Amino acid sequence: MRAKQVGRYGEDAALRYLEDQGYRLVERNFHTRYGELDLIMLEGQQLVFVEVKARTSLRYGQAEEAITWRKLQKMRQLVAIYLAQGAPRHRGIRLDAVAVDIEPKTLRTLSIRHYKNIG
Amino acid sequence: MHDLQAMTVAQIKDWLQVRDGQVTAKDLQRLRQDARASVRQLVERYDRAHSRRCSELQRLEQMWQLEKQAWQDGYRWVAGVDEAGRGPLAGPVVAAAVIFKQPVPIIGLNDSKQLSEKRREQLYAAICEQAFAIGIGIMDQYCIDTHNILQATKLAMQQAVQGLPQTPDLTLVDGNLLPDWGFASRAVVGGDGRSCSIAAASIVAKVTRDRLMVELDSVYPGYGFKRHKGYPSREHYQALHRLGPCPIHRQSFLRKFYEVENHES
Repeated sequence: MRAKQVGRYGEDAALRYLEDQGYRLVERNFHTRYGELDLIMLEGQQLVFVEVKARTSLRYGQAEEAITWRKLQKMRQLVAIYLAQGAPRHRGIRLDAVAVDIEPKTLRTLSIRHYKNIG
Repeated sequence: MHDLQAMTVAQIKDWLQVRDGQVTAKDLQRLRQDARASVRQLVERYDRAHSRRCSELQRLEQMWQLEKQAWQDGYRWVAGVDEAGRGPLAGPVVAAAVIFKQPVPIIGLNDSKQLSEKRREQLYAAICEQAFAIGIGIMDQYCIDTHNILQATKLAMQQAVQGLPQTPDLTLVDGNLLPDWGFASRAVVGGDGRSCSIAAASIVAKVTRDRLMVELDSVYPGYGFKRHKGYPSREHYQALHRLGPCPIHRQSFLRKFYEVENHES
């Protein structure tokens, strides 16, 4: 339950961060039987698929370490499904990751790191 | 120890005034049962003032929500940005950016359009005292005529933010349009009534512009800039009819005026 909350919170924080940078939300938690895409956004004309990783401690490693080759494979598969179901007008796509460090007690965002075009 | 029964009415009045919000329930109860009707009246007035103050503080608390959320999101320097003087026929458009470090209660802080000129001046002084940083941007009538009012407004906002002694990591901008300026920003519709930083910026912009127009009134007398600040008013139109435009008039805004005038003559 707690893990879910942190995940949700991290996604909220990442979404606000990206919107502050001028990205527009297209869809959130695009869900399929194979898994889920956290955030789908438009930066200008480019469609950006964002995987959000939130951490309140380093017990399970840095958020960045959770983006593995396997995870990327999965993302590509999900992107293919999303595009097949009809995406909004766009020019080009990109896969991004956002790492969010959260202070466990106050749920304050400590830092946000945005990795563009991860593959 | 204070003996409320022994104090005169005038003393009690002062006593209540300096202890706004801090009078104990026990003392209030005692005053309510005072034999003197005037004292009981004072308590009633105190109660009203106190509840007004409480609801005002509550309103201000609400108006810090956007800033608090931004601080929670890890931003440190959050600037409110607003503009004044998009509508007038003459004079510049002025923008202001204000950064607060923490939520300070500035009693009465609100959208500049909701306030009297006198109240704005008072709040302006309070903002200058309490704000961590203030930036101002001014775009004159030439800029407005060569670009357009919207572009000029955005440029003024950009100048205001760039003029801040501390670069903000997030800007809260009133309205639904964001300048293309490379600062992380949130557009806040109706922001001057929803965020203290934006409300403060709206007041700083408005007061700055008004003062400027009063100055310009002595440079270009006869139009009444001191009173209407360049906004369209009967006096302003009549002066335009009589004197024609002066150098600080926005040519691009006068077209309509001339069309109407040609039509009439």
